[in-house]
Amino acid sequence: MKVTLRHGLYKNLPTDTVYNSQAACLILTLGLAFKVSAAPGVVCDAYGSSTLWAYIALAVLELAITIGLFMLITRRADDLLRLTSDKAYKLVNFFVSIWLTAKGVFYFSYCVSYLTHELFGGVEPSLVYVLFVAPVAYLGIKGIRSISRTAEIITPLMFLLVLFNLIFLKTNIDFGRNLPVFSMPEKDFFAGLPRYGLWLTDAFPLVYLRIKNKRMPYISMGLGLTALTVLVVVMLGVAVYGESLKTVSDLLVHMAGFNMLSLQIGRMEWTNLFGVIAFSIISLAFLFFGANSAFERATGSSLATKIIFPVAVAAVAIFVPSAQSVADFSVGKAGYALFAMATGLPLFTMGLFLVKKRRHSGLYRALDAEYKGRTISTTPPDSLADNIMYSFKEEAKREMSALPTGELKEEK
Amino acid sequence: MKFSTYVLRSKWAVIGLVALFLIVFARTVNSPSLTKSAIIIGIGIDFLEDERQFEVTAQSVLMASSAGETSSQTTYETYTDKGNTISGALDAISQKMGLTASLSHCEVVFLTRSALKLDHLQLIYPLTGMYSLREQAIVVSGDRKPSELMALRIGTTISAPYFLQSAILNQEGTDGMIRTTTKDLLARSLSRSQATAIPYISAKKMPSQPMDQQGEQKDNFELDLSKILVFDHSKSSVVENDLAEILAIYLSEATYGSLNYLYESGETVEFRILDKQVSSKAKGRTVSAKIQLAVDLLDFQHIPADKPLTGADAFIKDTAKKLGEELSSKLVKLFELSKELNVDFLGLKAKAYQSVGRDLEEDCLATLTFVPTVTLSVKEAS
Repeated sequence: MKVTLRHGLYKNLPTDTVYNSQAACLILTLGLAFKVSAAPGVVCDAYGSSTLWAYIALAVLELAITIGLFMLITRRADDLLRLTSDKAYKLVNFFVSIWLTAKGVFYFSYCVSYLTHELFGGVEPSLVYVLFVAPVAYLGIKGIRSISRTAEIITPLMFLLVLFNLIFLKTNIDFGRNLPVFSMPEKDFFAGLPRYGLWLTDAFPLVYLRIKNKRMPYISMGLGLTALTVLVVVMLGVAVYGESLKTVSDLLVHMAGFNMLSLQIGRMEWTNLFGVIAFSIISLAFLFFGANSAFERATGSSLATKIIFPVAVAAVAIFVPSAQSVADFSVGKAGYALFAMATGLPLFTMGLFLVKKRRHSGLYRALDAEYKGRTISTTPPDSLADNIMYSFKEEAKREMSALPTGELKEEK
Repeated sequence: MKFSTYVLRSKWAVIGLVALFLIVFARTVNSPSLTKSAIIIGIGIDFLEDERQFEVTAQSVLMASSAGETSSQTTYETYTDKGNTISGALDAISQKMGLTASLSHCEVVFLTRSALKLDHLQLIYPLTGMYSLREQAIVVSGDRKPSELMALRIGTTISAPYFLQSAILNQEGTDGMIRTTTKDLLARSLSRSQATAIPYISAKKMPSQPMDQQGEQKDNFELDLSKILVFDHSKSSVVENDLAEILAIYLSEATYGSLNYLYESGETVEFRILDKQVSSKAKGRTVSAKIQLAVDLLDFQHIPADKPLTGADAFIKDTAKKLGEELSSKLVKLFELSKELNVDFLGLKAKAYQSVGRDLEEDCLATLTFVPTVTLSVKEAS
């Protein structure tokens, strides 16, 4: 049964549609799960005092890519490219599914690396793999609705916990440790950045979604908050640890250890540890969903990735002796390959979309009808009767009349 | 809707699954129960250069109580063993105790001067990484072996590590008392300065032993925490008295206690430190440090005055100014000492690196200029 919460907002949205608030929560979750956990230590190993500045350079690139992704989402690029049964788009999606599966495997390895350090001391990593993969597979197979709702509930709570730990941070801090900007020649500085391609374009699966906007600009807020939080945590990380940041396996968890309350009530790392685990599960499930969606667009079925993604993770657990060696591999030559995928695939999708949009302008106008600001009937939506949200029903009618000829012909 | 379908569809199933996952497996998989763990409150590491072995000392606390008793009995036990690695020695200690050594609650790490000559990263990282040693644990050194120092009976408490933990946490910055955590040790060791400072503990027998109902308690010691060991990977030196006092003010995160100014003619004024602001910045190879101390008048003696003096009196303000100048000159002396030892315990190379950049040579301490300014503003404590 569909339940109307208030006019225009529904408890159950159509398939692969999320509210902008949920998309914002997913962006924040992805940022906190991956970019401020293991990554700062890995980047600091090569960049030292320039870690923050390397992050700023990567953040600018990430922001530009994410804005590009949202341009694709709001312009219904996925709908148009699917509708035209474009072979190039299928090929792109095939590579996207491989890329997202690889990201999932590498991120898994980092998660296992810190979990075996921080939580499961003396436990076989393979056991952690198996236990960790269960909620990820559950959420990933259930789909974006479950993932986005889980993120919407858990992320704000866990973010408050992270914020609480940052506010109560008490330790010897020297912000000057973030200087000089270039601890290495400028050429080496920029040439080394693509090694960290693993941590770019995590939000790509959003391209496969439709976004229903609430009144507040949640996506802009989410992007800004994520960038700000990530950069502040990294700046504090360098200020607290200096070059010894490279020894920190999970910055967010370690930062909680400096909560001033820990001097009175004991260790506080567990507060952020819960958050990081929740963020990681949601984010990995989101990547799993992305790999499934991409493969479905490439081949018509997502069954293969639904099996391959967890199997790839399990294979790493069985055949690779150390999770750390997988994590190290991700910042070697594989890092450059991941960077090429992270920047190339969105660009290629964008290019493909622009070409198709020009060629099939009629189709595109039909897809874009919802964004033309047309007058919507004042008749109240009858969502209880037919289980279809009114705005989509109206749009579907228009699409139906547009499909055969490529021209827009509205039904009265 | 069937209950099973509802559960599968519900977000609460996911939350429940995660909760169950954490409750069942967090810290319990393959982990011995608390009754099988030894809670270590202090660990000491000595490196025996002749034998190329680590001598590790651990003090554990055992609390026992019986049903019906309101008070529990606390026992501190100190064990020492050797190993090729710190972990090897800790394993041997675990065998002796019959319990698994846990450093989760360890607050004090004793390191000897020979241990400090080793790679600090390899010294600390296994403890924080594998044994869950807190990054806030305090690092200290001393004039005795850790096995002797940790077993000493202190007048106010039985456990030396417990005494050090509470004393340093509560009175940091007072009379040369400094607090350096394992995190700070690594941060400074891996910086351009590659040097740091930690408390240097010396012990002496109490001149008059405590008395209880059975008579005099023997072999009680008192610990002196007013000295500071400054070191890099190859050299170390002990800073004491006035120089230690200003070094503690410069390096400590917090500062308590009092400062004294003694005129040549015998007048003396004591100020209590209320607040401290330390900032340092580099412009090229010149590092300037600014210490602003908010103090209030605590005591004065031998001053000819017909009324009680207050912080508003010109004489007191003038004394505060003179004290500031004296502290500044002591900081310059510390800089001279660091140049003489070629141990950058003031962290000036790290500061200059922030300004000069990667072109700054590794061995550049002698080329740097240090300009410290200490100002005292006399306020009334609320």
